[in-house]
Amino acid sequence: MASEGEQTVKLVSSDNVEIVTERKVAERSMLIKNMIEDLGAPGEEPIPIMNVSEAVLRKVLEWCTHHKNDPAPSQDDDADSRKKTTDIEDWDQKFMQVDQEMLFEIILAANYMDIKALLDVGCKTVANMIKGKSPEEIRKTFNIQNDFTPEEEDQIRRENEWAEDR
Amino acid sequence: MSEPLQPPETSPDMAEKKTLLSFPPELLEAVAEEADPSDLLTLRLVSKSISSAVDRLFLDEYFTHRNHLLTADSLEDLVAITATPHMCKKIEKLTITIPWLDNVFLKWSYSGTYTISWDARHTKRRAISRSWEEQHELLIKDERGCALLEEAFDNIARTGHGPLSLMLTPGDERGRRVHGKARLDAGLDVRTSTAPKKYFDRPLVDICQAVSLLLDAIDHTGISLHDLQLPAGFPFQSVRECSSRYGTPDYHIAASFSSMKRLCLTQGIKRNADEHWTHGGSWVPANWIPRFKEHAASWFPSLTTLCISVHLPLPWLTETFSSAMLRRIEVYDGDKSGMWRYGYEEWDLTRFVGKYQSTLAEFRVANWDGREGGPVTSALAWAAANLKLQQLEVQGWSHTFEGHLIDFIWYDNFEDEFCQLLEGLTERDDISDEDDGFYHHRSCSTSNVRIPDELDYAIARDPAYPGYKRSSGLKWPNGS
Repeated sequence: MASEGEQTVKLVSSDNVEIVTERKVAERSMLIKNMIEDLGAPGEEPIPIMNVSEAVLRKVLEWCTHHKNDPAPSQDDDADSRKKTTDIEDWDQKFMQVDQEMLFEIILAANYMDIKALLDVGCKTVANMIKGKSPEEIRKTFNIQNDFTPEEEDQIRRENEWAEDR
Repeated sequence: MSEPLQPPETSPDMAEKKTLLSFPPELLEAVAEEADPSDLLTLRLVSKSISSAVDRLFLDEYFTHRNHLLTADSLEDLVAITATPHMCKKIEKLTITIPWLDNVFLKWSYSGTYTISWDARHTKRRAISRSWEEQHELLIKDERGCALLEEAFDNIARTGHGPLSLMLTPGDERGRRVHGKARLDAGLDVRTSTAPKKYFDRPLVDICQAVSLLLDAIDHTGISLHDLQLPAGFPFQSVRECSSRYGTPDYHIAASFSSMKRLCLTQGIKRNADEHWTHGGSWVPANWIPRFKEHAASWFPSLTTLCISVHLPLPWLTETFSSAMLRRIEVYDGDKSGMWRYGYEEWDLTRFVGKYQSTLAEFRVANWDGREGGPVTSALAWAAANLKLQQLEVQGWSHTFEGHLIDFIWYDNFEDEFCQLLEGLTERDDISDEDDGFYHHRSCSTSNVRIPDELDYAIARDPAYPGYKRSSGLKWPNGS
């Protein structure tokens, strides 16, 4: 029997494409890790990743492969919820240089597949895209409609003034 | 291929094109958590769904600690904030700063020409221009200040609010505003305010009136005052006289102070040869101290934290607070040159701290410059060696203080006891989130130990260390 490090697992994307990958790589996802533990016979039954398309799943697995030997996150890391947005590794920065739709797909996939480190990198990337922009620039960047009434907008501006004068 | 298993959960349809608005609220919040606090304000203006998603972070960041000025504009904002229940519920600490009153007061006192009058009307007439008076009408004539405070406190009470730390603090002598949590925690540290200029246009006229307004509002609404910082030579006797001037009965004062946990008397007054206590070169009436002493014990029965300037008359403090059960002492402005003129002995501070050794768990020294040694250095060394403290903090001036606290402690049993104590202490990094390089907060460290001559001398004089051998022959700075 193959050792755990050599084992492979079969993942099936939402568009029904089967992808074989190392168990260690796949287990960066807590969703997959738990499913493998529940199955008890890794590699035999395909694991459906129903909400993630093949393209996105391959991209996520690319990240998992690069980070397969990373240490597990510590409790302290979890507690430090307000980290700065600038501390993204070079490789991760390059990895996230994709079109906006793919970026959002990766973040949603990381959330669904429960890959916290990838989710953090994705969120930081989006936060960096927001940094220093005006509301209008953010709307333009992300193609968002302003759905506030003038009165609602005034109220928020007033609350922001209170906030700034704390 | 065998039949795939069913996934453990379902999620939104992935077929549609994804945008930021495709994110569920918890993901939008995760993005906002990575953003700068200032970006939270911008995000709130982008769209309703994003505004809603960042709301919790926004409130946590900006509304847990509020700092308002005792002016009409700032109090109107406080009323509006407290009238917004989801904001009001977030407030854990409310600081009311009295802007400029000290400025007026100190400008008067610094003139050095006149004896300060504790009669606020007199001070007001002579120190404040007519145009200012006209601007102050809002808060003075129709008692609007008290009404606004009461309304805000009522709003807080109505939300079923938990314990609130309410703090009253003076502005500094340059008319700037104490601002920001870290700065307030540092006691005396101030910075130029980021508040809109409009807040600085209508200050009150004197500190008694300001305190009176606050005490009335506290008493009328039953809200508790937990923390009080007072300016130099704060006229307690005049507070009592507020009843005739501003309508605050004595029992309001006692009731308002009764739940107070922390009292900050951090600006110094010193005694001159004529037994007057002075500050900034000006006279403070000799009856200030007995009057304060007379009332302090009954006014502050719940006091657990006392912040003092080492420039205060320590023997008097020792008597005044002799029955207090202090858990924390903070000492400011320590051991700078000229300490020897303050009219008390080097070991008086140690004696003062020693009074509370059965209850004291935290000892903090701020603005410490140990180059010359002195009362604070001695008290620090004594407390570190003799008290079972849970927390010991030393804050020094960065441009004069080169060493770590432990640098001073290496000798014989002194070192052992101190190191044992350190093991129980929490290492502390730079606590200021607005560090401008002016202040340094230093952790204790056991490396690079060295003892300066002044502490060497201090320990040698301490009867607790009979076997101590001095490492140098230098004399104490006052030549003793």
